[in-house]
Amino acid sequence: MIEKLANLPGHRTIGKEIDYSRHCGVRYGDAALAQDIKRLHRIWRNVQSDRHRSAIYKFLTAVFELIEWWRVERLVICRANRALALTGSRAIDRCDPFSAVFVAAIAPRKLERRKLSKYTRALRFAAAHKPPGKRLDRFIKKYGGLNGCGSEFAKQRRRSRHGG
Amino acid sequence: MQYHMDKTLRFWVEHEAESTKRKFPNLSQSQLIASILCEFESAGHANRFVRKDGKIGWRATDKMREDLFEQEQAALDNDDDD
Repeated sequence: MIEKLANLPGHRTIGKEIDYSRHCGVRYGDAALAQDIKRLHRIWRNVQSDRHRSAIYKFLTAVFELIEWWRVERLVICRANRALALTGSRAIDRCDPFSAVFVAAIAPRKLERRKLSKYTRALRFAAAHKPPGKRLDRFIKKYGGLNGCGSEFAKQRRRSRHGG
Repeated sequence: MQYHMDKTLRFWVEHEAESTKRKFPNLSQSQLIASILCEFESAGHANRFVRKDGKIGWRATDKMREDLFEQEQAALDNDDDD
């Protein structure tokens, strides 16, 4: 699947496609960050009351987009830690921004560890391989849904660990 | 600096810019827009995203649309009362 991805026309990893110098110059204070977390929490609540199978993609897309623009400003880890601190969760040294935002937006006790890991792996896979402009839900579905993307991510990580 | 916004947000930012400009005539257009966007974002009425071209874009949030709808309904109710 990874080989297939690499052959996609216009496929670039997120690090290459984004011009990091495009900092938009508008201050992003704690109030704005808190509003973003609140917005995600609201979407999460709506998703919980929606029985449609693909309702979760609305929440995942919102999380993905938030991390994506933090990445443009090269402040992902700092902001993820700030989000955790704002919601009263403990900041961690090597925090994964996706799981940090999940924990901040959804009370940690309300999200099963397995689900958190499934969503995080799928989003990390998408962050590395989704072509710009492609909708997140379409991308994830194309690669076998959340579980498919999660296992692709795990495979890729195993390969990079073993240098093969 | 150019700010890319959706139609709803642009309309309200321009509306806000007119009144803010009167209060702070020394601000440049770019500073004015940046401060309004910052204010809107802090109120949960605007959020940023990465556009296809890799630039940051701005759009109105659902909260802004809901608040506008409520204000519109309130204005209509007031008209009916008059």
